[in-house]
Amino acid sequence: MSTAPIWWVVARRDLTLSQRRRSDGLLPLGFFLAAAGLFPLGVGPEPQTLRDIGAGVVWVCALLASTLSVTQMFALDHQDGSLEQMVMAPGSLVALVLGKTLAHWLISGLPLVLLSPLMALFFGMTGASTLVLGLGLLVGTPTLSLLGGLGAALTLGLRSGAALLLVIVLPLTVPTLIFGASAVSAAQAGQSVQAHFSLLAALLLLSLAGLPWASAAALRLALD
Amino acid sequence: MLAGLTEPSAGQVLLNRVPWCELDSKRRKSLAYVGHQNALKDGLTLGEALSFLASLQGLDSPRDRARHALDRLSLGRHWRTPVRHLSQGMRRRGALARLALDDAPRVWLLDEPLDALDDASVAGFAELVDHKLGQGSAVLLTSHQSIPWTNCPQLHLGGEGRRP
Repeated sequence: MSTAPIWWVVARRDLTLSQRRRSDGLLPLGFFLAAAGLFPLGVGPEPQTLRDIGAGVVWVCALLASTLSVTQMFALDHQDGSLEQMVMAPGSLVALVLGKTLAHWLISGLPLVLLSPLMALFFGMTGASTLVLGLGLLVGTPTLSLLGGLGAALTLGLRSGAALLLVIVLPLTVPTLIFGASAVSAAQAGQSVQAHFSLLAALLLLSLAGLPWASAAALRLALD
Repeated sequence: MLAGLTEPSAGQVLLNRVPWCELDSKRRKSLAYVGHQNALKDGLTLGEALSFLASLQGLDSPRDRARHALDRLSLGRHWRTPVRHLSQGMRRRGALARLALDDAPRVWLLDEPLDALDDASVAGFAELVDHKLGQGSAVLLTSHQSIPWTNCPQLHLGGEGRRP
């Protein structure tokens, strides 16, 4: 009988745990909604102003929500000894990191994508801009999860790990933030968004090609 | 260090004369490790937690193996019990049940396996170890408690790892 690949074994377990502890998954989502929802109240109801800042605000809030939830990606497994078993398992540690990242994206990233039309409504975006915002988040949030995974692995076991993770990860997310937000701005101005999406996709592919290996190496160092 | 989690600052850890870092995935299956932590998730049932560990080892039929392993440690009726509802002793037995998932490992590395176990559980675990030793395998364990095996080599260490 064939066995399930390790990335799927780990992702399925994390999804089961998330389903049992829904508050953990809902917290970043609540943060995203509350933080992005406060801007229209603070900035005022001027439609053009809201449209101008909307994409940037939604992307920054998505980035912070994603980073907020990533701090626990390896920490809980480290505390209860599961991470030791995972590192010692005969399967590839890179596949394990990919499984954890996939689960993080499904729990924290995908809901942000699904909520983006509501956010677009808050900021008075047009239909085309809403679509571009959603698609941009769909391509960009996996990169945020991969970068967050690296930060979580590098700061594993450190006392002020959460703060350090923000310092490490946030600068690395700037290109994704810029191209994601500017794609929406381009759509609002009636320009082509192809270049922005190509760059977002390139960032995702680059992250996929390198970050899981870097995270796996960081995990080994953290356990050493 | 023996489990391959920490690099030795000097020397090598060899398993069947092969350095640990050079072991391929098939050979790594020949070593089973139960650390100080139980590696059982509070949010899972005992059956799910053990099935996960079996899947992690790349074993086929993980649920069947987990059920069999729990039966051997007299925990079969707790298959659906969430780990967070188990006592410390049951959790420790659940962690030790992973040793019964597979007959392949030739070496067991156990860190304080008798923690939180009552006398009956220690006797049950001793049977499991005796069965393993009877197969010609090796078991290396550390314990602060007296261990039920008198016919095996023991090294007693005092404070700071020194021989008393």
